[in-house]
Amino acid sequence: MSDLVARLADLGNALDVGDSEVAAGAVMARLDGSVAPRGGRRGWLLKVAVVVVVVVCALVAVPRSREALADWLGLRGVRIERRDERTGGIPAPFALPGPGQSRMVTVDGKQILVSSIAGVLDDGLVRKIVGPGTGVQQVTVGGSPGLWIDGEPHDVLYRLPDGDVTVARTAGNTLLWQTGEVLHRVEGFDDLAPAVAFAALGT
Amino acid sequence: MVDRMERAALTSALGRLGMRDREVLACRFVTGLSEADTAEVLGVALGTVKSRTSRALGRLEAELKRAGSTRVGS
Repeated sequence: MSDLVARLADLGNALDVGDSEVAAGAVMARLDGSVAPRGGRRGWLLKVAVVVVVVVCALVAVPRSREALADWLGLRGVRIERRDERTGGIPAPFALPGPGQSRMVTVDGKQILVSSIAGVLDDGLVRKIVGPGTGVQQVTVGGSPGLWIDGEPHDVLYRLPDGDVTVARTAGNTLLWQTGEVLHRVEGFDDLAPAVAFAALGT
Repeated sequence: MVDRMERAALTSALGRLGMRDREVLACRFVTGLSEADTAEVLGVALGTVKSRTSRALGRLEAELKRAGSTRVGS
């Protein structure tokens, strides 16, 4: 198995992602700020998450050479430019809507629905109502607990402040996370990593 | 050093794995993240990273064998 790990590491070198910070910078520039980085360790991890998503997607297409892989990743010929993280095409952290409100945010040309509800996420309730074609995964968003629900359309049950349980229907993959007494919801991302990276920018 | 043919076989095998397998292998070995950093990036527990990594490596090894790779992890 150690040989297999070595071969994967070699593939990483071929993909030019050995320096994740630099590679992420290139990808960030190419995506024109679909995800805004933050400083410090968390910002670095967010950048790496973007790289991982790109690498994972690239592995589906199976290019046959380093050059093809680099082209597919958009890394070849990209001029890496360090700049202030809050300037240029990179969006600043966005304001989460208040309880009972929602807003659309454009991310890399896609419309992302962000909404907030006065309520408390109940993991047990969610798991009871999702069908066999729906996956539920525990996640953290900026240190707050959450759930990633993907697959078939599903219902989300949550508890209102008065203790009653209500239901909301969602059609696509959904990221839910809790801050205090407010439950936030993001819909529109196909995959978990970019959804979490985006959600972590909400303030 | 891994030659081009072997690298292509490895990439092809990775492409046949499920998303969860690919993302944990990409985090741990392709981008070289630690288990703790992988857990944070993927939003899962450290133990989940360990178990997923083990299963993903096993599936990758099986894919390589199925494809008739000349070098399978030892």
